[in-house]
Amino acid sequence: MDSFLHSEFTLSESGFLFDHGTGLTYTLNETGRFIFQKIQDGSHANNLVELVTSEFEVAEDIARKDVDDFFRQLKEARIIH
Amino acid sequence: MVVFNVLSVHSMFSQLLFAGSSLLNLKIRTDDYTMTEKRHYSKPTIIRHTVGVMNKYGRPPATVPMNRLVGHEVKELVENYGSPLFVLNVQELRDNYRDMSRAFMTRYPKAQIAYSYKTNYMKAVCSILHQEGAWAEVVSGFEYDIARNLNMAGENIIFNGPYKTKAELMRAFSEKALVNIDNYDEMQVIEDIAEELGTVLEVGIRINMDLNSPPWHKFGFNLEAGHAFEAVKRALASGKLKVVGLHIHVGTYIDDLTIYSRAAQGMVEFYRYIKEQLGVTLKYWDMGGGYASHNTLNWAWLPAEQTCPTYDHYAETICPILLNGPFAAEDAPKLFLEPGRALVDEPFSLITSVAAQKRMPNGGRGIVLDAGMNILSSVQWYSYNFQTGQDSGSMIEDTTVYGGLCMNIDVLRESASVPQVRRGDLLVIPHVGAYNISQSWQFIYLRPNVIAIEDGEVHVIKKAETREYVQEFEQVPDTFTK
Amino acid sequence: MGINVGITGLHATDNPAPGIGVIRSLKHPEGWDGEIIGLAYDVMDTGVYDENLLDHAYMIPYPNSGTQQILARLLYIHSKTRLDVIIPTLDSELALFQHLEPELRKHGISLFLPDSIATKRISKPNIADFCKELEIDTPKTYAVKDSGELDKAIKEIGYPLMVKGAFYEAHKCRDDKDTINYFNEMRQKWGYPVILQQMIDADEYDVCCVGDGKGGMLGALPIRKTRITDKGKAWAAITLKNDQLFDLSKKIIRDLKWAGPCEIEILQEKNTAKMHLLEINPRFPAWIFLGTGANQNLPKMVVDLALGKDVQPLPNAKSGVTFVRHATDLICPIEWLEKLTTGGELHY
Ligand SMILES: Cc1ncc(COP(=O)(O)O)c(C=O)c1O
Repeated sequence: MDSFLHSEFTLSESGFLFDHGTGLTYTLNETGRFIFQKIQDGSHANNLVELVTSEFEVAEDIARKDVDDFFRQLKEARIIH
Repeated sequence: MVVFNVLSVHSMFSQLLFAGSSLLNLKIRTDDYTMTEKRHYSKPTIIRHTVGVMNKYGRPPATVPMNRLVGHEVKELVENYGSPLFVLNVQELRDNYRDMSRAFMTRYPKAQIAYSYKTNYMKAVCSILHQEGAWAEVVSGFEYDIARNLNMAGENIIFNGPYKTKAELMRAFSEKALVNIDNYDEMQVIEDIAEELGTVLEVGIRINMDLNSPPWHKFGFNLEAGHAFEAVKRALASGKLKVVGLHIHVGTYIDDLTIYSRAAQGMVEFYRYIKEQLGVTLKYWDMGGGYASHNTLNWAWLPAEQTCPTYDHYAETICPILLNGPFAAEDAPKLFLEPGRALVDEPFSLITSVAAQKRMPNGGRGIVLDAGMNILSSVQWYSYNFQTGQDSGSMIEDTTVYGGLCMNIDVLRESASVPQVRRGDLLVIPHVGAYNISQSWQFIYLRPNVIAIEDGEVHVIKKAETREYVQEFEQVPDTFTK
Repeated sequence: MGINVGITGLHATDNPAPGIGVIRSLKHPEGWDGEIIGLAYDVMDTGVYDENLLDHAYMIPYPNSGTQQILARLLYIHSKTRLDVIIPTLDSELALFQHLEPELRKHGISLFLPDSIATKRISKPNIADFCKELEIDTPKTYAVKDSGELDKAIKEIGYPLMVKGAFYEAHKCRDDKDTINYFNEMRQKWGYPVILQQMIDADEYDVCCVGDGKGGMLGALPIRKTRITDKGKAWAAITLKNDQLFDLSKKIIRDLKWAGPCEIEILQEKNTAKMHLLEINPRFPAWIFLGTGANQNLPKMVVDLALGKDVQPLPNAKSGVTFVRHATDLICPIEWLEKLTTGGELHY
């Protein structure tokens, strides 16, 4: 599922993200980094909520809304399509 | 629909294990980590690096959660008293008064604070300040009546302002209030009153000077143009008035101390001159209000905490100059100060809730609060801070903060640093005690509760409005409904 | 044990902050054995990537982001890398450091700063009054606090004029359109007041001085800029021996009881040779390294003053020494950027 990332990205432990295609850099918080890593690892968008709730202390409905919002942010930033 | 890959199966599995583990209270080891508890969650966020955003140590105070106010959970206060909610820290108000009074009295023993009612004339607020020893400074018959209703003696009330009716002046003089004359029309009315009462009335004269740009020329008589001298001369000429006071109020939110030193200098020189020329002896002089509070003006770059002088700075600027006046130390006139915002701004906070979040067409973020400029009119002047009432993480974003009114102009701040918040999250706006409540207007929404907290106890000092209250004085003639 | 010095203002672009010049001056004398701690506001503050100049770099909060945050950050840095002295080099920081000084001193961090009243007197809105008091000439200046006053200010001053931000930036304006544009830009960027100032046909001189805080001037470096950028910044300059400049500077420092560094900008009218005080910046200028070639190592002097050492006035600056600025490129691995962005510190 890697294909829905726009280009190659390096994500460091600290949440620093480098877009090799555009040269832009970003910071992700822990949850954001977790999700981004899963995307890089090929997880399907539909599974991400489950992955988040199993890893973090959060109710499913909140995680669903937040993941949704996070995807919107990634799209708006043209990181995924 | 669901595509299970290895990772997500693993994760489903581990979730089951996790549930089991908590049920059985067992610790289950997997290869890579101990599954005792889940990680702390915050809303997933990504922020692009642009100039200025790349300094996470430049975190504004907004990310430091303010989940307690005066010893109470912000969340609980809202559960009990609703949102939005004004909260007064009573001790802070008392401390402000005591500190300011100390700063002036240690430098000018005959200093007396007369609290500027218009800043916030809620009965509870005025009562606390009177308890601490403040006199009342009022600028209308209505405010005068509030003070009298709180049992302030007339002689502890200073009556200022450009428009006082004859009846109000009559009441003030018969109750021995201190009246500062603003204009010649008023002077004539007061002469009539003196005639009717058959006595010579003691009065103060309000003067103004060219101190700031634009100068405050609306009130009183101008010094540089010679009007102030003419006014004193004219008051004495009638034989019905005796000038015993001088009053100046240099403006509001004056953080430039040189304005106060010039004003004090001007007062001293003017006193010397009218003493020599007209034989005036002052019983009091009144340096007015205008002392700044810890709020940052919209056009200022540095935050107020770095630019706002302390009470001691103001006192040190004003008192030594006045003490050089034309009198022996023991005959020094009483010195009045009329602080408003410097006393009541900081002790009040407003708790509000996030109603909505939006992405603006330019990519920026907007949030809508349940409080609007109808209860926060000072957004015209101040760039308020928005502190989170809960831990909202440290990922801040430039945000336009909108008030809840269905009016395009209801913007509380064009660009504020706000962490990631959701609908229902609480924000605390500190330092909102001056002018917002007395200038609030009932519009679209009902105005909220105002509570005061002291010694752990919560008192409702103004109940939230109801429809019945708002419509109490309205009448619909029968003929409109038949 | 060497003295560790924290320095701000590391952004050396075509409008360079003074930090780099200060650091180079400190490291110039033989036997320097302290560490230099760069205090940066942005990970793109260029100087943080100069591993030959810095020993450590830390991100710090912007001066307008709240005193307590900044204090906490400085104390954190102090706990990791001892800070003996801090030299702030930006105008916009001064109020903050003046405010924090007593607290920092308690923790063993020394500064040498002017008092806040002196700073207020020479601030752009007040400098005209200051000149009047000292009977020094100055170009006609108007501090506009409200767009309604703009017309009046323009009429009083006439063209050409300069529009200046409350802290930084100045733009030459020849007509109303220019003035209104820059007025709005400066207002949005730096807030009120926006300064309008008469332009005088004159030679421009700068004097960097250090005052002892009691009225004495301990060092002075007068220069003429021989090449300037389109932003009016020195790209090359030459040191001078000029009694008029020296005396005027001394008079100013004496009256202000100035403590620490400042840059006094002086104009000499071409027609009349009259001296005008243009402005006083309460900090080192970016070209301060030039002093090391003219026997005026003023940053070193300020460190000594901060440490409470007995500092004697320096003999006059050597004249005829020049500098040319020379831009250079630093190669930096992306890890440095990452460390600063996510961890807020970088140790070379
Ligand atoms: C006569 C007088 N005194 C005192 C004040 C209080 O001003 P501040 O709240 O700025 O202290 C005002 C406010 O405008 C005033 O008009």
